[in-house]
Amino acid sequence: MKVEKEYFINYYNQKIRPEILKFTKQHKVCLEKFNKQAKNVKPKSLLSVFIMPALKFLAFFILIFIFSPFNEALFNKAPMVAIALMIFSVLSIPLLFVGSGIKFVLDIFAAINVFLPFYNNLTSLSELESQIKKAVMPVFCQMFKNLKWCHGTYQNRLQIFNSKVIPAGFDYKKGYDLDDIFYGVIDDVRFEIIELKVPLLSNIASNNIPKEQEMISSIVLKIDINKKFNNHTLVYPSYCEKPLDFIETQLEDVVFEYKYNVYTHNETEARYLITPKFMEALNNAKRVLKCEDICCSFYNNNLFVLLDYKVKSENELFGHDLFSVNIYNENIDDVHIYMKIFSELTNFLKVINYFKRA
Amino acid sequence: MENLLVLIIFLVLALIVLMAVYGMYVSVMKARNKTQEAFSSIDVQLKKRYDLIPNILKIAKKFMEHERGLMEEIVSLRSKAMGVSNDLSESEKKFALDKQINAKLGQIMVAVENYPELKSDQTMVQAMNAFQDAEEHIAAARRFYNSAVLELNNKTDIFPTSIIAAMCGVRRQQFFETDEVSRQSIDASNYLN
Repeated sequence: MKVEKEYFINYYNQKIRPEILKFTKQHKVCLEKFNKQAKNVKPKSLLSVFIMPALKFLAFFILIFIFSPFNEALFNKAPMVAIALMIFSVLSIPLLFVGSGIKFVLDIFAAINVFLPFYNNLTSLSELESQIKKAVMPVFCQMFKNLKWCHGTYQNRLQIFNSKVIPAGFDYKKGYDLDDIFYGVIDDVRFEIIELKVPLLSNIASNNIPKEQEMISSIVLKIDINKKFNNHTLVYPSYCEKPLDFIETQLEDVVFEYKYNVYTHNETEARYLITPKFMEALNNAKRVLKCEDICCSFYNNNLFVLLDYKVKSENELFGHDLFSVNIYNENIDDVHIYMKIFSELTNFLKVINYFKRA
Repeated sequence: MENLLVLIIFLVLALIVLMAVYGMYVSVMKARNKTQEAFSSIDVQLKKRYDLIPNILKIAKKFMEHERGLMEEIVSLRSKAMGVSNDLSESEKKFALDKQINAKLGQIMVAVENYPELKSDQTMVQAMNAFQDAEEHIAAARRFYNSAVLELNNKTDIFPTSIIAAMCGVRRQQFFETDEVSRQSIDASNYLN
């Protein structure tokens, strides 16, 4: 581990830091000023963020649409339009406090240029991180042989859905977004590491007002295993409900059977795929990565593995957001940000190695 | 009135007993059918392996003149094994023949190590990989079959399903075990001069 750390720090100083400096120069600011500005864009809790602007808008609306001469003219010319506008604006205010309405309201307000400065800040927040990653990640990936990075695509979402690696009962009801994707080849085996952003549902209060919108990362590993198979096999934690159109099969390992259930279309093929070595790899993966749950799916000659982090992890390596360039709390050129990503990646690559050999 | 009540109670009890017996009959038949299905899957995998054997022997024959006798034995055993039917009643005969084939093939594989040209031959490497894959499928089919046989044997040995099984002619089956040679620990002195 010490050797890896030293190697990384050398590489960071030689290749990654120059790339960061190049990035900040493109924004025509020096590094120190950039770090300050990035921290000012830090998101506060949604309630505090929206209450003040909402009140400002209400005041603005009252001034412009009720008391101004302009409104009187509008009222005289097209009373129905004026009334409709007033009703719409008043009804929109409560939507600010409802989760799903926020983006809709934001878009409307941005369109009428009320919250535009704030809206620009909010979108620039995620865009900023995205831009930094686009600049830095290609150089970062050169440390590993045959590793590349990209942002989530529709094709990845479709293959995750078809594989059924996410059990029906998991808390992914509100959907998930695809974030970072790493893909490459290890010893002639193709793999993808797909990061899912899942809203942390346990933080949502009972009256449906969201607290600080926390997103946790789950990971789907897609590994092109050497075995050829024709049927679909699933490995779910034992508390998950049985998927439709699958046969449940009992394997010989008592400990494995206690923790997981195996569902398949072909019992012989399930045993061909789920060998004692595979079961050991599954246990190793859970231990190394300290995730809450693991689910597997053998589909289309690929192995999909879902690593689910349901709760906040106390492990120093993993916070809410994996592979994050955490510019809100750290400086953009802080080596620890990239060291964290390096550690996360090496752990996932180790796990892929376990499964490749299983 | 009392007689009617007694009759109804008797009928209800008889119905419950009949349903219990029927349930046991269904579970025994399901176990037997599952064992048959598992045996069929072994049969399919064994046939795939037997189909690969001529290819391997053809490649090996070019290099291994001294092992001709062994190869002829394998060919003969293979023909006998292919002639055994797919019925569960023939399982003992099938497994016994497969054990012999396995043992002979093991000797061929060990002999291949003495012929480096053969070992590195591309067609031989491909044939060995295909053979290895077939072995893994057989291992999986064996696990499935043994799991089904365990369930069936529990039904045939444990009261009261054992009575139902005996009445229906369902007998306990043999597990598909590995041969004695592969179970014995390896003595390195056999290989070292």
